Amino acid sequence: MKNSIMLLLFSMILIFLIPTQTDAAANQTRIVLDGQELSLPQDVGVVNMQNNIMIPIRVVAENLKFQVNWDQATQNVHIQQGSKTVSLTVGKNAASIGNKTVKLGVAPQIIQNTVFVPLRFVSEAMGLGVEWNNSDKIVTLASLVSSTPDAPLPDSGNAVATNWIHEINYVNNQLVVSLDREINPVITELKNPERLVLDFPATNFGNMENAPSPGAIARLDTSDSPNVKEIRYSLYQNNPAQVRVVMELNNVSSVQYQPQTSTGKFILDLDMVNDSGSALPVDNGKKIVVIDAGHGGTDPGTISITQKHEKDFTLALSLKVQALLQNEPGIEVIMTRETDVYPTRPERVKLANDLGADVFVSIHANSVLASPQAKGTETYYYQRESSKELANCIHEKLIQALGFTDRGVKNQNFQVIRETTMAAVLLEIGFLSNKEEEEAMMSEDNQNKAAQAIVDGIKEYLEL
Amino acid sequence: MKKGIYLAIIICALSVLALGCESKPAATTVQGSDPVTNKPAPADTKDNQEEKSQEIKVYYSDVQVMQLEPHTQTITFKEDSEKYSAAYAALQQSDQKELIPLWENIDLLSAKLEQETLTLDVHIPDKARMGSSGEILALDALKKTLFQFDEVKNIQLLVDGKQTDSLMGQAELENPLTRE
Repeated sequence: MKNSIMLLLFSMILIFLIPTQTDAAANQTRIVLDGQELSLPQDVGVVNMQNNIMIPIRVVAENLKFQVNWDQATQNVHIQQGSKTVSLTVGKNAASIGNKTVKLGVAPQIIQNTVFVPLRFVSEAMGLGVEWNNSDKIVTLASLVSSTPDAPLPDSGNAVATNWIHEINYVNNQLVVSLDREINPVITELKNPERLVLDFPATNFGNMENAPSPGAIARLDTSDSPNVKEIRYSLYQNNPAQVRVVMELNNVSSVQYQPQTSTGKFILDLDMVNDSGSALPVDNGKKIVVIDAGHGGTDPGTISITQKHEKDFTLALSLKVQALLQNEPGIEVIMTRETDVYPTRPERVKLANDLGADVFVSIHANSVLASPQAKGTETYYYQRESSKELANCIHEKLIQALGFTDRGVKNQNFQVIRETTMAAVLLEIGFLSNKEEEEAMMSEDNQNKAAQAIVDGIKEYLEL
Repeated sequence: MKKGIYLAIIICALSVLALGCESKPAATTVQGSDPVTNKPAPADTKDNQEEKSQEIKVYYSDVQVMQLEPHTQTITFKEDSEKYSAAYAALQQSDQKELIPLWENIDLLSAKLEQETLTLDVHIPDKARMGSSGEILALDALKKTLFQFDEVKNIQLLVDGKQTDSLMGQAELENPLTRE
């Protein structure tokens, strides 16, 4: 009897001891999702690791009704919602969202049997708006899909979901910022030296190339544009988030600027007058390639034989093409969309034309569910000799790479290849309604091959 | 018990009589119309109850969705205004598996001819959406099939009641489609 009492007392002491060994301010933090506070398992909350806020992924994912799978052997977390998949590995900086690999600011960690991941990653991957209230230690999450920006989020200073930036580019006197929602930043002109300051409210850097770490400034390479000395950007403010982009100009006496928005983009057109008064050279040596992922957003495109949407395939393949082109020193690649949004066909055309692009490639997939035996690769151009040449270059490489039936290069009146003023093609990679081709097109390996073929075709046409 | 049987018989008798009365007038009309026309062919009568039929070419796709194949079909309809939905219905089904009806899963909500323009209101469920090859051939098939009717000079396609600039997101849709 005495022994058991002693044992009980001893174990109680142990239980009380364990929680105090962690540094995590676990039980003080709260997580609010879409207005509802999540009930967290005991001692699980939000952790601050090297200035990165980490949250327990399983708790958040399960409350959002995602499927979560944990592989003990590979220490891999696999999250699925519909056709969206996210994969993370403890201790590794590389994670993947669908087919895209992304770099995390800090690797996922296991603390007390719970996997913690960087907050920024979660919001980007799962499409959540995020606010971190440092004084009250509350993380507020809002699913961008279901809630409107006006939905009140308790205990949060700002009710608007964060607008994530995916890319910042400067091409042909145009600043192109790709983000979740169109926005008009506050633009200020400063003198001595001539600078344009753009402040984007409720905006932060999503998973993008060259994102500045918190408190730091990132720079864009503008060595090809003699009139722009530097373009730098940073997270100027947090709570609420605000991004500042500064364009410092070189020997420019005055500048006219024209802001415009397009689906998923903010564009600033610059018209600069040099101090010396000479005309501005537009040609900076790099070739401008616009990659257009077909459909998107409200336009799902076709449905594959396994119920997948064409728009997801076109985006996945387009992003692979983008990644490859970003490694080409002679090419500047601009995307018509980098997320699941729907730029209209005229917007896609306008972007390419305004940029003075050299090549325009629209990526699509075919499908005729009424005839599942139909298959093959088809490439379209419209009238222009340069388009036909580009079409032949890419088509040949695609047939070699994928080995699908050759349906040929055809002349067809599609708006995106008719109204663009440069060599323009529309690729129908294969038939999503055909069982074998759909399987092939959904494989990472084949998508990589197709992306490489498209890049090789573009390079051959541009003689690079 | 006996009363019940009698009642049942009376009821039966009455119903038989009633039926008999109903069929009688119909019979007399049929009898009446025959001597008027003197011909059994229903296409020649102007009688609203008769069905008309017409032979037209209906356009289907080949299995590889590379080209259109015409196929003669007979459509039947009661009034001239129903001719177009009958032709559309023919576009939606084929009795040969090498002929693919591209409009199979696209529902026709209404068809109306007004002053040489035939307005078709369709609904496109997700599974009916096609890529470039299908979209181009489908539009071509629709034009070739419906422009066979001389009185149709334009075809205005609507999707769920609204005009759109593209049926499935690749090819441009002219509003209205015209004979080339």
